[in-house]
Amino acid sequence: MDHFGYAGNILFINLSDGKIEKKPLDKADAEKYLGGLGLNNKLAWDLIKPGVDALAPENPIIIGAGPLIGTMVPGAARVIGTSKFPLSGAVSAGSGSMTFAFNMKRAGHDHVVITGTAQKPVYVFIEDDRVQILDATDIWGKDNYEAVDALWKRHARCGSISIGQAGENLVKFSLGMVDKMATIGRAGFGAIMGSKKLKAVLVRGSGGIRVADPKGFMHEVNTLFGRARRYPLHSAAVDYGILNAGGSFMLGEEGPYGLSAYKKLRKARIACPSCFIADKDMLVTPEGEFSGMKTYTHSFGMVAQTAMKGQIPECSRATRIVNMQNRYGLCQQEFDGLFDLLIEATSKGALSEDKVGKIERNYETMHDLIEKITFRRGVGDVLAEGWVETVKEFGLDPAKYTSHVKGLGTEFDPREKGLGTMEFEQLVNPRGGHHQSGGSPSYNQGAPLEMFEKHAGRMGAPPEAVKRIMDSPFGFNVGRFTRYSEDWFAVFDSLGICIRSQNNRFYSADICARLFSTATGIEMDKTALMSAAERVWNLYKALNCREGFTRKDDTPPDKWFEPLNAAGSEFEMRDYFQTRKLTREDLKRLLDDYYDERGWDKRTGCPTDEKLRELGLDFAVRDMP
Amino acid sequence: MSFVNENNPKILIDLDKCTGCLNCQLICSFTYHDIFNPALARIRIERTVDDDKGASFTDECLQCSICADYCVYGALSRTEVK
Repeated sequence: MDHFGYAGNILFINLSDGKIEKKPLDKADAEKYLGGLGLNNKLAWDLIKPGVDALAPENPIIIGAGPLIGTMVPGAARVIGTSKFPLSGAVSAGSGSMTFAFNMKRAGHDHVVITGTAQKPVYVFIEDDRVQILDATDIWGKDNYEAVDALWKRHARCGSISIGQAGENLVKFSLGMVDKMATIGRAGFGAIMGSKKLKAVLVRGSGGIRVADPKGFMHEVNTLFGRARRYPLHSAAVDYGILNAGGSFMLGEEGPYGLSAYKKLRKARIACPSCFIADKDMLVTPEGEFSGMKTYTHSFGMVAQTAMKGQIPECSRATRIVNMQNRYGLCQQEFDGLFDLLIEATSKGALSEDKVGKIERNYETMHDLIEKITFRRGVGDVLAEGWVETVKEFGLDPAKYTSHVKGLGTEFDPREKGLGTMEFEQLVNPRGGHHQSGGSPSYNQGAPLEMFEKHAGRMGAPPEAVKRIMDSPFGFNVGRFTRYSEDWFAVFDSLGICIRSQNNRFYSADICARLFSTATGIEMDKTALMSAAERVWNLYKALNCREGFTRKDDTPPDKWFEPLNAAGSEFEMRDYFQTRKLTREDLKRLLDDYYDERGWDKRTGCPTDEKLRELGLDFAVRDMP
Repeated sequence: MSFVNENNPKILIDLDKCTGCLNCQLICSFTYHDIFNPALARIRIERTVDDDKGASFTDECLQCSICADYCVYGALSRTEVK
């Protein structure tokens, strides 16, 4: 095929026998599944044997880089890592950023598939066509920062995905770190690498990406640059990245975690290739017990969140917690959820100190638990298995103490600001309680109703669907809207564009279609692009229906139906516009609406035969329940 | 601290503002070679293992300064008004 947009190859690496093979990308597949998430899904369908153990050698790691990566499309640097994840048992797609996908494309690979298990610790070094499996014995046992620094000193700075000790010790919510500063795969991507004795994958490319219609392509890129420059809040986003949401600095000016504190810590702002926001920070602690400590993070908000969770008044100590999590490769979100579980269960007397030690909201407890989980010591060995195993081991009532879907903790609690699309997405996302593909105006509180109508259209929902979405007693139908959010994010995940609201706000389905067409030379209008996105998401769901997941796994956590006690008040789950309390029956109806909008079977929650055939996914029909 | 590089005195470089987005290199290589490839760009952007940053222009730089037009962070700016 002509290599416009795409690099044109898929690289296969088997760690068991050392076999390395390069196969050309199939142009028909590229048109059908776009790239990134979409082609990862197709590879997963072909390569993941249903029922395989997530930590078995046969479970592949599939890394995808979409066709716009390597170009100047703003924020086109997202790398997608697909595998069967151990925390949920679901075939999942984690995503990360920084320079890995950019280097992968420049090295000539759209996808890299890693299977097998090495006999001893190894790392993979890809330098254009040269692929080496090298000894990692000397860096096994080191944290992400130490290991990657050692490898970069050996090979010079390049794209990297690495694991820390949490991944090595198969912690079910260990993740991979990209270039030491972006995370990938919260539900155990790190453990999958660890099970393969794979400490890191490095990639450096010297090539470039051509586009089919340079003039037409740059017209679209210039439109996006122009929109960003004219956006009144662009300079704030450049200064503070994702800390700036909806036009106000989320943490205020003063206080221990305000703007002033952030400015003292912030040593450098770091961008992914082609990004006009720069969401990464290098923080350097200026004084005190951690003076000189360097911490890379995608937002100072992670530090503030930790501080609130652990009631840690000293900024340097909260930063230290984030620093440890990133060095060890431990997912902050799952850790915070389990930390809350221990606090709640011990304070209610359901868990005793002799079983779990002294549990308090403070720095010492957080520090201690991170160490115990990472190295699987004592109670940490139980917690390292995640929500389901923890409540089982301690004999706790899951309804009272957990808030997860398919084993993944739900970060967006609808009792806090209402049931928006991100809250709802946690129920239906094939990988479990993950909010990311449910982005919409409901991300911010107080969005006016007309904004939902406008954005549904921008995100590619056809006019008749927009009518259905807006025909709801709650102002908009969260179940129906979520379907189009997912398809919209499937476009971004497949083309390789950053989904952050500070970036995706400048895009529309029309622009994405024109970018794809002018980059690849494959003509595709908005309708065809959104149809491809629908195909991508249906295959993602079908992968997990094949694993045995059904509608029952989309059940909301019981906790959502109990009042949330916070700040001296009780909060009940209400709709986004806070018109009334939501019941189990309401959620059931909204799930029905979601499946209906998808054209899926309401009984099983899986794609129907007709839907799969309509999307050209006939091969998946026989594996549906 | 801003500075100029002798191969292109028309551009003021402020490394404190550079985020490493590489848009300067991407637009340069695309303008002169029809391909997005930092290796072919006439501006060099470096970041060491220790996070030290560097920027300079190659001998081939034509001082067109299109790189500054695509720097949204203010790390590259024209010393003369366009």
